[in-house]
Amino acid sequence: MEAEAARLIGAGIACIGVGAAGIGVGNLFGNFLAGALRNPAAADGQFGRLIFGFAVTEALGIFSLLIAFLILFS
Amino acid sequence: MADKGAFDGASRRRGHAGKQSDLLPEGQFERRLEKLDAALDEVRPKPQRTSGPVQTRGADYSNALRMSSEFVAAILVGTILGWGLDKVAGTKPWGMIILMMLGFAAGVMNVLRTAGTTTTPQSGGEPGATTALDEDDD
Amino acid sequence: MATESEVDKVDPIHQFGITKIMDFGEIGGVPFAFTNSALFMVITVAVIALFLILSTNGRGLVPTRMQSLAEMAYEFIANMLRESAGTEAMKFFPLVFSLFMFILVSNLLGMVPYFFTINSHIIVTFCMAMLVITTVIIYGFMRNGIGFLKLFWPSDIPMFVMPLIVPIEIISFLSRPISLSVRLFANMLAGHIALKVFASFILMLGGFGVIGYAGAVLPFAMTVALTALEVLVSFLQAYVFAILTCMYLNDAIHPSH
Repeated sequence: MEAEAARLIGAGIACIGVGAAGIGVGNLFGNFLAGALRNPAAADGQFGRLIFGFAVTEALGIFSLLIAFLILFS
Repeated sequence: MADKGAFDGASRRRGHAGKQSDLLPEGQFERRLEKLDAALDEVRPKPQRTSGPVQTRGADYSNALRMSSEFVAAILVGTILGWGLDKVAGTKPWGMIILMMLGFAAGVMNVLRTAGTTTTPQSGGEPGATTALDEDDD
Repeated sequence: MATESEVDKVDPIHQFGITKIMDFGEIGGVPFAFTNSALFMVITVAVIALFLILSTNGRGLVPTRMQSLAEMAYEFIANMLRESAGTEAMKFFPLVFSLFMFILVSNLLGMVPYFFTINSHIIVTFCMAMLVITTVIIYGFMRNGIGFLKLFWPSDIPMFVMPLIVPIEIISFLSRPISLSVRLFANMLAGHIALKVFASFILMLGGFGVIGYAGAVLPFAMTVALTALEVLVSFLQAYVFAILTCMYLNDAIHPSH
């Protein structure tokens, strides 16, 4: 039973990474918005880069979520 | 869109006038500009301008809801599919790993698709883009 | 302290409980009953039917207020469908209009105190989402035959990324009923729970006497604001559900990207 408890705790700890990715995504969109408000004309052109950054940042969060799921279900 | 163009035009005219008012007698140009603005305000359709921001705020909110839920749903579906595949085929961790990554890619693509079809009607993204809420003027 | 025990009874989930009004026993081991959820579905349909029948009864050339409201709803959905899926999709107008009105009216009815919110149960929203997706799949295959599978085969993409793109497109398609149903369900559930929690804060603070009454103004204002937000969300969710239905129907009619 103790191995079971350690597994659940490990899955919980792995989920911290999702929160960290949340910080990253918040930074990303916040900075994008700050930049877009300074120069709205250039904002639309950078939308692709914004989504690229979002994808890369969120991929790391998904990676830790994946680790959590793997600990839980396999 | 139409009234936005008009607004841009008005601001540009005003910036131009700032330069020109150095040449003209003090105050006279301002008075003419005010008169013109008042005349334009009568001519311009008012209800469109007042109803614009409220509608777009609603549209933005619904877009945000759509994007976040579609992103999460694609990851969920990928994970569940991978988990089921592992159960059925016995490929213990790999189905979930690969399909979760694919689900993540699908989620990003969903977000891109939602954003690509609904944002920036004024920057002339796609001509056939479906902008549902704020296209009542044609 | 009498209020203390009363406050303990405040349970934000309780409002979503399903109770049997009329029990018809079991059919094949599955309980079969007329529940409060079914009652409110009937009420919703009755409200919509009464509204539409009564408002269009006069058929005036110059519409009355109610008639213009009904016409507005009709025009709104018809324009949405025509713009996003073309005129050919107008044969699905009854489906989209029914879904829109059902979700809208049931959400708004759920805002009335003591009323049951149908869409706070995922099985209801999931059934509606599956109705839409099944319609899309069946009509897509009926109209395009095997060409409907071009939906998963984007045309302007180099061949070597196809093994990657096709599974992604399939997962993206499969995620549609999930996102469609979970969005509606989660918004309704979360909104009503938040309302209940903030309303229970008022009771809790009221138990502290005069200072509590003064403090209770804050959660009360929050409750009022949340109620307004919930009404907005009710409209938006119905709108989003309808427009996504239109877009998915568009995929069924024009499957190539």
